[in-house]
Amino acid sequence: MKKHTQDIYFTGYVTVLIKGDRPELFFNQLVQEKVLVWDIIKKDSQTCEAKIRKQDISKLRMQRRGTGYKVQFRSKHGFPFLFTALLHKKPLLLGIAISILSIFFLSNTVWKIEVRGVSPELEHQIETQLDEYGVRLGAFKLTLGAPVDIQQRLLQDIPDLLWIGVQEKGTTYALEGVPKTIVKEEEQPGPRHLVAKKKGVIVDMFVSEGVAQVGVHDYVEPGDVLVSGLIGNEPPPVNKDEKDKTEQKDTRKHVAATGNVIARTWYNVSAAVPLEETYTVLSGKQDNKYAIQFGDSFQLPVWGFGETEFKDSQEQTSVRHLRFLRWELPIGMRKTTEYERVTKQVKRTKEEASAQAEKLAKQDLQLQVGADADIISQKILHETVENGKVKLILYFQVNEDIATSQPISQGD
Amino acid sequence: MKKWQQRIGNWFTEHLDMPADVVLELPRITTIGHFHAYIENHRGLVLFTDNELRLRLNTGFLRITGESFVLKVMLPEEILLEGKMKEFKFIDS
Repeated sequence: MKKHTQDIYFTGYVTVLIKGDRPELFFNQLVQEKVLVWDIIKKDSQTCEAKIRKQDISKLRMQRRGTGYKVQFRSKHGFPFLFTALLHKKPLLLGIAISILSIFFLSNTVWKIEVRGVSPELEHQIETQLDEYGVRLGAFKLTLGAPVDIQQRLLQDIPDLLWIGVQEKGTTYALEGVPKTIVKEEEQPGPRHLVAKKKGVIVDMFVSEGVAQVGVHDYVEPGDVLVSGLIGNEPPPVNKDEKDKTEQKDTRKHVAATGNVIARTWYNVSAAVPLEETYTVLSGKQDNKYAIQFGDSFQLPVWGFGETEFKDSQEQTSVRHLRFLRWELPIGMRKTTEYERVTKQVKRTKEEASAQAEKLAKQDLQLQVGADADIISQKILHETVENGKVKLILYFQVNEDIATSQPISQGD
Repeated sequence: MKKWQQRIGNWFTEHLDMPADVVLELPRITTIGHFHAYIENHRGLVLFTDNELRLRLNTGFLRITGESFVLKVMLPEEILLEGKMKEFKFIDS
């Protein structure tokens, strides 16, 4: 019996008053029709109170017809009635809707921007840049780019940044930067020589510590000592006769030799440039399309319809999902950017190609020897045209610092 | 015919130990103290007031008197009565 009444709260039930002559007899009739009736109380000789389920109300009305009994509904109980009562409270519903909507909006708003790991000036610079991109407190996150994009733009626009990590933690953007100018604390170098790392002819020397072992115009091979880290006189060669008397001690002082030794070095570099070349570049024109994405596959375009007018293009898409509190919803904004791609064909004369090759070779070399080195002269040694390519072998003369340190082993 | 059926029923209950209410279609009344009465196999409600319940049975009527009666459950052949019961009386028709 209990089984029937347990779930009654969820289906809903009503209290009814039956009025008429001997009202309790009406229940006999109801019960025959499989109507569940409970908590029957006789109020007075003409009135009975009872409870019936919500779904039995229509049966009750059917049964009442033609009997002369009167039915009054007194009170409604249970969830369905509660729900309909709630639906009729418009201000409450409106309030709930507004609160859900505002939670939704606030979940998609930038509330905090944290910049760490950089100096205050750089932090300010980053913040102004972010502001320019639209990343500011109170901004709606859907309209902002992906963290990776922000990261790249920041790196591009702020030259002082070596690296910056952009992380989106809910409503917070956490940025962690590494500034480029890190003053490395120089370690006190141990005693050392400066030796040559390349062969060359010395053109200039500046020794701030140590004893120069070579002079200008000297030719040096790799490994030759340029500046010695031993100051003082060499001990005289050990005399065989005096060997037993006193043992000469090495009195030379050990220092860390420092200085610049600029030498003229030379390189052979070969470079090849084709006479005819085709390559593709992005023209810089782009086309943005926006679509609202539901789930993984369904998309509803909202901006930018139709095919692009680009003949050839490269596509890049990014999806930003809406958030509700901590959760990412399966609804998101999909941005598709099409970049126009242009195929270019270049035809060069032999002279142009060789000039190009020379330029390339020079750039290559500069990379190889470092920015501090000066390329002072260049000369084409050999030039051939084969397989539609101009091949050059070039000779370069470079002034560069060839000193490298070599620790002095002091023994034990 | 009816008499014959009853005689067989009686034989069943006596010799095979089958419950009398099932075999003979008689009412079964279960009471818990004086506040619950559970009546099965009745044949309809005849009268119900605050202090009296009268049910039709196969053979006559059952009259229960007491105070503050409430019908907790009502099904075609079962009734659960709650209240303060004083008297159960079988009335032959």
